[in-house]
Amino acid sequence: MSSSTDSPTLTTETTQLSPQPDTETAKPTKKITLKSSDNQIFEVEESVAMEFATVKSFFEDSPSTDTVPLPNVTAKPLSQVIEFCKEQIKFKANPDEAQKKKYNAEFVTEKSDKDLVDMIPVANYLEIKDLLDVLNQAVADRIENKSVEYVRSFFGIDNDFTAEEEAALRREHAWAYEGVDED
Amino acid sequence: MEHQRSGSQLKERMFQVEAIEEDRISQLPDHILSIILSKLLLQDLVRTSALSNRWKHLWALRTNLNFDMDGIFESNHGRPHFSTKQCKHYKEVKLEFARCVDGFLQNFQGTKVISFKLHFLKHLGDTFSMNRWIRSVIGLGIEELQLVLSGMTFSYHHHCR
Repeated sequence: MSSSTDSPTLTTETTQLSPQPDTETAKPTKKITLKSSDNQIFEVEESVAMEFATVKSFFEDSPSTDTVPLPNVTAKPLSQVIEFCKEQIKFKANPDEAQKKKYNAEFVTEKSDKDLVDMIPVANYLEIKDLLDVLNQAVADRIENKSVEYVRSFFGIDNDFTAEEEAALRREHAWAYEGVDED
Repeated sequence: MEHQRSGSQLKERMFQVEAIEEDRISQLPDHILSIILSKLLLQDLVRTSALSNRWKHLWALRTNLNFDMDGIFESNHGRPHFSTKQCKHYKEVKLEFARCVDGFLQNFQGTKVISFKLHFLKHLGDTFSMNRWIRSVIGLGIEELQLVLSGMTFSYHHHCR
């Protein structure tokens, strides 16, 4: 965790907001270091990090921190969440609802089921409301008219019902199980 | 914020993740899951009760009920699920619609319904059933009640705050 301030940053996954060289001559924008549970380091612009309510309040509580550990978040969903928030910052600077909608739609369309599902707890933990909304709509769309078995495997839910309990639930709402898609 | 995982624990954990997918969705708080539930079609919503014990009663968190005969229930993507075009006698369609709405409302244990919408053809309407459905949700904090019969819209908006 501890690193001296003048050592080179151990960036295993660099964020690329713009092709700006990382020199002292460039306009200094404050960077914040985030550390995922699998020990990947992410350096992000302060404005991006402040999109994460959890990180923001972490800084308010301990402003002298140089690295924010995110013990509940692995690198892959974190990198995707950062990618999303960077774009949202651009839309904040230059509001364009149509473009934003288009970007949000493309963002989820190109993600696998697993990527979407993995990002939801991250968006929740980091308290990114817009992303949570986009993700929840995307998963709702993907499980539309799907069977119970399909939805279980989509989310990774373990069936803890006995066969009898499950049959009883299905009988209660037989109409809702008619005409679902083939898995 | 604690950072408690040692290297070996982490490694162990990573292998576990490879082997068994952890169900992190079911660990989310109810109010987050209710956002997903609020976006599902009603028949998809009902099926979530059979996912697991955790999900069994969650569908009661749904606060917007939209029953649409032309796609039992509403459809986001124009999926013709239960259409009057499907060579069914109107009477049959009407009975099936009523059966679905009755079944849903009988088992629905929600304590708050903010929006309730009923869409169906006027001549298939059955005021007796409609009264029963509206009565069953009227005490649950309704702010918006919408009846669309044969293309005619009657809306009632109640703003208590």
